[in-house]
Amino acid sequence: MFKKKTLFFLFYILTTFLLLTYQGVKGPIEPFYYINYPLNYINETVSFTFNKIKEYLKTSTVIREENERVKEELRTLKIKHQLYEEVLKENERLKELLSFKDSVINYVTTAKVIAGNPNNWNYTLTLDKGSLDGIKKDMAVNTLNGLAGKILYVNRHYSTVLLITDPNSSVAVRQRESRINGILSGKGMYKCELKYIPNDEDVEIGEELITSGLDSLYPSGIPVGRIKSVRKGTGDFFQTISVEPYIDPLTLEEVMILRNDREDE
Amino acid sequence: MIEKMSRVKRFFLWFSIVTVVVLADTHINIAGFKPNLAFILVYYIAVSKEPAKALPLVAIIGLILDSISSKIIGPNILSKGLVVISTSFIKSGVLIWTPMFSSLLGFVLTVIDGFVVYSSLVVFSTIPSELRYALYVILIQAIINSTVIFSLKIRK
Repeated sequence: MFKKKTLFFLFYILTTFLLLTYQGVKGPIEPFYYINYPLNYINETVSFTFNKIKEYLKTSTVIREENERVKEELRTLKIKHQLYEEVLKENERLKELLSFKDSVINYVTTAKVIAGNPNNWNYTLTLDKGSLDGIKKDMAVNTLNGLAGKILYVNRHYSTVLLITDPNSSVAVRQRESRINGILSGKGMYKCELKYIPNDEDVEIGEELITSGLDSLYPSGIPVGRIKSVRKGTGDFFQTISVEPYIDPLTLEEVMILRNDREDE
Repeated sequence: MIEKMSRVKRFFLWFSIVTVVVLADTHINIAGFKPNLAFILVYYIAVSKEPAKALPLVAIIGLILDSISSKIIGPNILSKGLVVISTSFIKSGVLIWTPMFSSLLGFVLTVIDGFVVYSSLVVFSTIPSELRYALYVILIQAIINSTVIFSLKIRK
């Protein structure tokens, strides 16, 4: 019995190792990603329901508070005013998005973030739009604050964004003032590093980084982040530069998908 | 109670539980950290079920978690499987399964789970984050999980 159990365990571990080794050599097996397809539907429904409940709770709380303080008419007016403010804010946000959309020639679509990642080791987000909306692999994902990442994987209705903070992410960037080119790599834990800047170059803390477009993936000129710290090692050829990205993956709600330069050609 | 249910009912019950846990893991953030609630479900399965039944179940949970990442498939399957295997060896011992013991075991196994996922990514994919941050995250998750396991009084 014990031997049988041990053999079963060994078989399990060996199969998993073979699966990992295969992917280590050949790359990820994409058909497996379809497993999360139904989960994405549920995720979208959950997000929608939670937002509705949140909205409902917000509204009912406001009504209760108002009921204690003012008369019926005043209360209705205040609620109307609140709704008006909400619409106004939404209007402002959408206007901002629209003006951005008009100024960006590579605009494809705007999508909502429906889920993050369930663990701390992968820095990806799921969007509510997919290939049916014109999204393709490797398209740039932008926000009003700055670059978010690129499309890692896309199916008909959903797509996955690889954030710039993921260690698998590399973005060709340029410093806005000094025009020095470099590569921005993700470091995990919502951090980034600017690579390949020689020791003799002067890099200022706080300087803004923008995409250079040299990688033909991201359109040029998109703000990415600011230089947080610079360290010059004595024996090193390149500087160690820590970058604080503009995006906060935990608060991202809407993103904009941009066609890359390669597809424009 | 679950054992008395019909196969179809049991399937839907497990499906719902797994979905809720994975969704919770996807949406919940505690000070910027994902709490790894899927581990608590895996731990419950490992403790309450025979390894032959527990392993396929946790493999499915691992597969779902890996597929959501849209990256390499396997790290979570391996780590969750190892939780079942370790628990099976501990279960067969003479140790008295008190809530405190269960909580401590949960702590240790969360660390193992996190470390296996991290090292699988390091070996077969890319380094997901600096080791010190990884250790910090794993430690936070272990504290959260052991507290939850203690309050749920999960025992064999």
